[in-house]
Amino acid sequence: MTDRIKEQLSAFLDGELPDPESALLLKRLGRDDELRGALSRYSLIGAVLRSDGDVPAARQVAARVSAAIAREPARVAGFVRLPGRDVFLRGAAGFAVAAGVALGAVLLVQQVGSQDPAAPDAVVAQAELPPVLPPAEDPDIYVTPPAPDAPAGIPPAEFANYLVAHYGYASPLVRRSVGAGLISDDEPALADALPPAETTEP
Amino acid sequence: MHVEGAAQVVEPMRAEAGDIALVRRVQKGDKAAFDALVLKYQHKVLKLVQRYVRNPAEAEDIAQEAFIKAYRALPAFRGDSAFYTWLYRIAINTAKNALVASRRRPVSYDLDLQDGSQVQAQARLADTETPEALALTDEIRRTVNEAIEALPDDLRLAIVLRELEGLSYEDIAKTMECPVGTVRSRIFRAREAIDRSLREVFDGGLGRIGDIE
Repeated sequence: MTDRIKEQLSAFLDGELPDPESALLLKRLGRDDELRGALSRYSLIGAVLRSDGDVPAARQVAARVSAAIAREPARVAGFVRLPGRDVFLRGAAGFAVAAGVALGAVLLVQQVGSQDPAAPDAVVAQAELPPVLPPAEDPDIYVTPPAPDAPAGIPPAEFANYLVAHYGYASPLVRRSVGAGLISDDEPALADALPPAETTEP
Repeated sequence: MHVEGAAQVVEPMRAEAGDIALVRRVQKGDKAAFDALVLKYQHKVLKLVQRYVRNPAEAEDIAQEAFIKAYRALPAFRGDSAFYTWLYRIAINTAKNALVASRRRPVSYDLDLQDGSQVQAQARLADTETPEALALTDEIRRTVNEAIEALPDDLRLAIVLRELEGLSYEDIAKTMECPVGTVRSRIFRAREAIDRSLREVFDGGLGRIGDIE
């Protein structure tokens, strides 16, 4: 440990070291026991000078505290539950959950619609599905396949109800995708339930 | 150098700003910053705790517990008071709780302290049970005072203005009519000279240097 580092340490103790140097010194403190010892003794000197009595030298406090907090999760202020922010946090959490569910739904719907008919699983599933509506007339229009009696995923009615219930939490992009994915010719009621969405037709 | 009666000196404002900067780092997840705060305040906290608990080992346990409590509570610390004031309150409460748990009476009179400066002003070291610990604290005080007396005038004045008067480097520079960089160097050299003497004490058998952290 050089005198230059120790001089930085002395200034750091006094709150007189610039931030960038403090950051580097802190990193060094984490791995340099000699430097930690010097900081402890420098602070002990100050405590003795300012005190009207004896000051005990702490022997193992810092080492034991350091070991203990190493096992603790980092205490980040943003994760603290603060009074007055509950409503905001709850709303944000609800939005995140709803957006995640909606995105998952979009992926699920798209996956069902884009399965390769040649794949063995798709062949089995296709055998159970009614024919898809009019791909031959307009191949650019995507039409959701009607729900089978025993679908592999979520029951369509409950699924659709859930999406409608959480529609307001989704971003515009997700709304468009979900709306387009759900609205089909045989589900006019659902189409009416959803807020206006842009058409997916070219 | 006579330093008796210097306890009324408050913690330097600049150091408080440094503490707040470290606290902010901890609040962003930097554990090394909390290590630095512990290293800085462990002796003061231990001294405070020893007003309640005679046994040095038990006092260290309580000081450790106080720091861990502080770490866990730090996300809620907003900086309305100085960090050390907040920390000292936690330490006092931890010591009192330990006393209640062990159903013992405090060593000293009951303190209902409001802030750290009052703690500093009123604090007196309670007797410790082990002769070794008592000898070490006596030796530390004597060594520091003798080393300060032996310093060249410019170094002694610089560290006194800093530690006892609580002046910033800039104010010390004005007082001593020298550049701020010179002040920084003088304070460091003063500390280093005293530290050399301290290390001799610890190496000399009263304490092991590796134990003092």
